[in-house]
Amino acid sequence: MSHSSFRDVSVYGSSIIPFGKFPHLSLSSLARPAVVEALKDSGIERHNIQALYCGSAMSGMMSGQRIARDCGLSGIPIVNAENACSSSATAFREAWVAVASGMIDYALVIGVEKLSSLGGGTIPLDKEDIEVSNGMIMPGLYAMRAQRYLHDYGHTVTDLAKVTVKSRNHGALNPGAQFRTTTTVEEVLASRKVADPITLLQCCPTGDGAAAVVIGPSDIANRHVTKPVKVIGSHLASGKYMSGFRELKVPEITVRCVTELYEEIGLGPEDLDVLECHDAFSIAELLYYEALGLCKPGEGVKLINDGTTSLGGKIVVNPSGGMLSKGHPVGASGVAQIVEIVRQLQGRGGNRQVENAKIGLTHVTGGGTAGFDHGACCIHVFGV
Amino acid sequence: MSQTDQFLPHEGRLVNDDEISNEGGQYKLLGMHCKSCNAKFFPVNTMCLFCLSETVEKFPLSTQGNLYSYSFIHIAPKQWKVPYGIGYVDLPEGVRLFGKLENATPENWEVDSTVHIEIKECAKIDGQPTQYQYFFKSSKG
Repeated sequence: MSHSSFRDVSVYGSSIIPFGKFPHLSLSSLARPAVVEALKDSGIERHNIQALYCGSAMSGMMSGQRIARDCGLSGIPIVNAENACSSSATAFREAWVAVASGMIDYALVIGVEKLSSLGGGTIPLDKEDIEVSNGMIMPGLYAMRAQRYLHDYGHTVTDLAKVTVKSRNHGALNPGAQFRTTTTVEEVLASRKVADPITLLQCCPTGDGAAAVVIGPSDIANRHVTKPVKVIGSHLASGKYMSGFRELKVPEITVRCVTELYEEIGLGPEDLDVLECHDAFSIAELLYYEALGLCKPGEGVKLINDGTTSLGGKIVVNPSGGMLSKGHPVGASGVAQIVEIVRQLQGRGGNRQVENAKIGLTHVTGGGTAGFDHGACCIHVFGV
Repeated sequence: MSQTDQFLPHEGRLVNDDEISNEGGQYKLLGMHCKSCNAKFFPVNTMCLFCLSETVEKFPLSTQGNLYSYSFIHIAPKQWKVPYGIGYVDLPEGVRLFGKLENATPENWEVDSTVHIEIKECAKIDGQPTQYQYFFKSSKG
């Protein structure tokens, strides 16, 4: 897809609330602090926001309107986006299209989710699905990927556990992370079994969260903010139906999405300084290293072992602690990742700042649906 | 294989009469073959999911295949009794089946081993057509 007629778009302001379990708060109460702070951070007045895009997977109808009502933003066009884990990344993309095309100038994007209202456990999936109706759950899908990965490459459960250890090391530096303590390989492997070989500490926690960003045209960004962050590329892919032998170690939808995006923007994995990827489970991070082109197939474990993707390494992955530590309120995660990357590129990463970060990427994918690798995948690249 | 002497409770995705073939008590799951684009897929459908052709026909699927991957589930929605096993089985005709493993005994299961597809009748419910369940059976027990 060519976007030659599009203008450049930048993120002006960003905000995120600490993730956790807040069953006593309403959806709009979760989102409001993020919205108010993102607006303040953007230098754009509330009344100049021309459209609101709200991504949420399980909040029911009109999540954007409910938040707009409580943030003095009602009346403007509101688009509610549901795309499983990619919901708010999809919302961001739609906002980007609207601003890039010149249809509007300033848009607010919200990612929000309140999983605590579902009562815990695994994420409920579509009961009509042929696999779900036969016992499939998301940890089970990733567990089967892990089983095959370990079998084919000769890696061990210790290698999987190290992903969580690395994630927790980062999360411990993030005051907004749901898990802020470090852990050990032994502790990870001794935690409760969820879906062999995946144990509880290799799964992202369920929780609540919200994040928001304000975007606008790049050419006038400096009038409003000192450190705008440019959207270098945006890509959205949906799953391709297959009935045959899908290679579970290669998440086809992510490979396709990122390959098309790299091609569009003329950049590659070697250009990235920092990224947030969809580490919903330990194995996921390894698979996505490989799918995003950070290393060759089967070599994801090496990047964890030699520190390449840890803070201080050559290409830092999930400095926020990622979904495994920061938490994964499904629909909120897309914008949450964008907030982390934007702030890293602005030098606002705090004690988890990636030195000299100039180009960053966000990647979310998900939706457990039979016949698909995943239902949706949305990837963005940002730069300063 | 395909004994009807053991009735199962209604659980999971049930298979209807028109989704299996019965040759003298030998049950086989039915897949679909598209006569236009030659695609093969599961489960039964009235049209091809790849080329939208309606010239599709049912054909009996193999009763054994290769266990591509599997897992034992320990935490699941309330309707399921844990632990239970799940797996993907690749059939010689190029179709992959998702299903439950007969048991959750780790010693019985191995990646890239041959497993059998078992079909059993569910307990009869008065006034309802008979339904069936399929699951994977290991040669190790």
